[in-house]
Amino acid sequence: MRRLPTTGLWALLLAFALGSGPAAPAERVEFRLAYRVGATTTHRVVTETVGTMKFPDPIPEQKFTQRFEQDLVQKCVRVAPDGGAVVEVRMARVAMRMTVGSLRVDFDSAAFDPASPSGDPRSDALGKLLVPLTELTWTITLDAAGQPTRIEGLAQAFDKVIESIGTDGPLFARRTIEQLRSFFNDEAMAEQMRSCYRIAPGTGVRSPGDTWERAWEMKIPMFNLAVTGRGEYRFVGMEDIRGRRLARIRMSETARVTPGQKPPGPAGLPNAPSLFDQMEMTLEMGEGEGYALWDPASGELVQQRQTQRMTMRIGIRPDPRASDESLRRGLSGMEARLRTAVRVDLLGPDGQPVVPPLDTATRPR
Amino acid sequence: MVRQRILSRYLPTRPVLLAAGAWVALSGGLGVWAQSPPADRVDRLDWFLRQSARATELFNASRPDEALPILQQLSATCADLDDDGHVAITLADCLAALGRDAEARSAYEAVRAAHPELSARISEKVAELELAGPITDGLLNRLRETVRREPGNAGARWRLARALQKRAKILLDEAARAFQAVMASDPTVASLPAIAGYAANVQELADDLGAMIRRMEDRWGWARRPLLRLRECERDSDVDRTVWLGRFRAEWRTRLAEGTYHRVEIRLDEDTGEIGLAVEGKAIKLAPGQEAQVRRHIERIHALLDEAIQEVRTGPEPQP
Repeated sequence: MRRLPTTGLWALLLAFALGSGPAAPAERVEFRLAYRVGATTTHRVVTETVGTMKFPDPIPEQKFTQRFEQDLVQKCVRVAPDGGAVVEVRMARVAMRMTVGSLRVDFDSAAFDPASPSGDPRSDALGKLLVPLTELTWTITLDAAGQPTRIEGLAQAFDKVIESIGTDGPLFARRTIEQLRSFFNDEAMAEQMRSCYRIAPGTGVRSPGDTWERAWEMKIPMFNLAVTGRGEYRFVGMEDIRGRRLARIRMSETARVTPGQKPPGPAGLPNAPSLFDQMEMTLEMGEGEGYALWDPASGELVQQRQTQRMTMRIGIRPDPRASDESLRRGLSGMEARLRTAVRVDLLGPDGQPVVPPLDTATRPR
Repeated sequence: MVRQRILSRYLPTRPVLLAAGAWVALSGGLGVWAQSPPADRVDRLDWFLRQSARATELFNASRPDEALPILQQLSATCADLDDDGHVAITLADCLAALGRDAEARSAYEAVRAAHPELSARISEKVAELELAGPITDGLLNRLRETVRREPGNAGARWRLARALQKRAKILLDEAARAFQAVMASDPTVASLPAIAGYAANVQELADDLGAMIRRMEDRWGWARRPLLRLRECERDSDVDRTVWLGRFRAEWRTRLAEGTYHRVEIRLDEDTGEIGLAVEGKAIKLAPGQEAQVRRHIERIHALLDEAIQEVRTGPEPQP
């Protein structure tokens, strides 16, 4: 047999390695939404933020961390003839750990017992605020493409939470709470929810390399801001992970934040300013990068990772009529430079992620 | 098939082993990559953020010695991801908190070189680092010059004021020592009623100012512990105390000219750190300046208690 020249061997090896050999046919994948009445899924959504907060001089800059965890349980209660569905959603668990300089707040609804406070008044106060969220249930109507069209019950649920906090107190506080309540109406929440479902690839056949775009709008009325987002999503290919055949989808998103239209204040209260009326906020968001692992057979999001940078500036306009001295003086120029990671994991029956997260003890290559 | 034949033909030779190694490496790195990325940019960013948050949490818990190795590792492996300079600045802050001033200074200057947009922040941090060291004439002149150049810079004025009061403390200590030396050298002078105890009073002024500086730095932060303390009662183990003042209550019985008596009480709340003044049980609101005066006296009493308890603990056992 003739000996192949060494250079030839190298070229051949390189060609194989770089994939320029005989090309395999690209896999065409059908993305479906297989709703089943009674089927229940639980997703853990973790939002982790780190950065700095700069207050007006001479207050020193403070470092900030926050980890917010939610376990969201979705149960399909109805399947529509057109392929859409109605799902019931509840937040089974909520946990938050936050540090701002030496200030620390740590709360987990799974370990919280209102009857035996932890001894940390701030964490206990946060517990009283967040625990009612775990008692809420609301429904989302999804269309045949998996996009939410209607939210029901969330506004009433928020009413209950606000009632549990209590609406007593000075007029300023009452109006602030009433205004907060007015922000959480079902229509506004449907808009929020649509932005959360933007990663869903919909239905139909896709091939690796296919891209699609989504645009969304989201209002943040309490800060008088409107977010206009645009995302580009690319189906990278299929992967076998833990016995599941999953589609990897890459995403790249941009968001533009502009001043929004502040809604009118709630009726029934004298026209006193609330905290939100006095607040001024600007938000700059960097490009978001991420990926999702999607089960095209069941239409389930199995894992999602996304990171983003943002700069937020908040101030409180001086209010000469305010009874509180600090509000009379106002607060100028708090600036937060933050980096955020959002991690979504589908949980298995054992309460653990179906696809194990990256080992945090190991440095990635 | 072709690949198998080539590999079997060349397997015994050394270059082929290298080639095979390259094949495996490239297969793992590129070929299989499309199916199962071992660590892509998003995973790296996510890991970087997670580690950065962990280190920042440790720093905020006054554990810079534990935060430092995490930040050093991030700096060595993922500096390209630190586009806002948070990790590099926090690393320098850790060095400053640990008293490694020369390393901290060069770390701050490295951040300035890599992130010119952070120059103003770095200048503030370098100035804080200088404030933690000896208060020289050179430092005072530089701070005065900054205030003159930037009259609206509240941070610069704040640092100048702190430097001046630290210098005042040093001068008061020196004055007290000089008075003590005079009295020690001449017992006649020391016994004069107008002079007796004077050196002790000057020393008390110096100690009082020292306590005020400590209290302010403990609350507002400085290079060794740049953490804002939101409430007076929050205390960490790094504060130099052997006893904690849990509860404080002082009561006076005052007599007015017409002969009526009133009970006046000052109380420090253990949970909230707030100070309350009450006359015959009726709460009286203190102005912020008055509250600061009371707090300062409580602090001095606290120092006395601290000293007394130390003496009891280290002194000879009491006789039965």
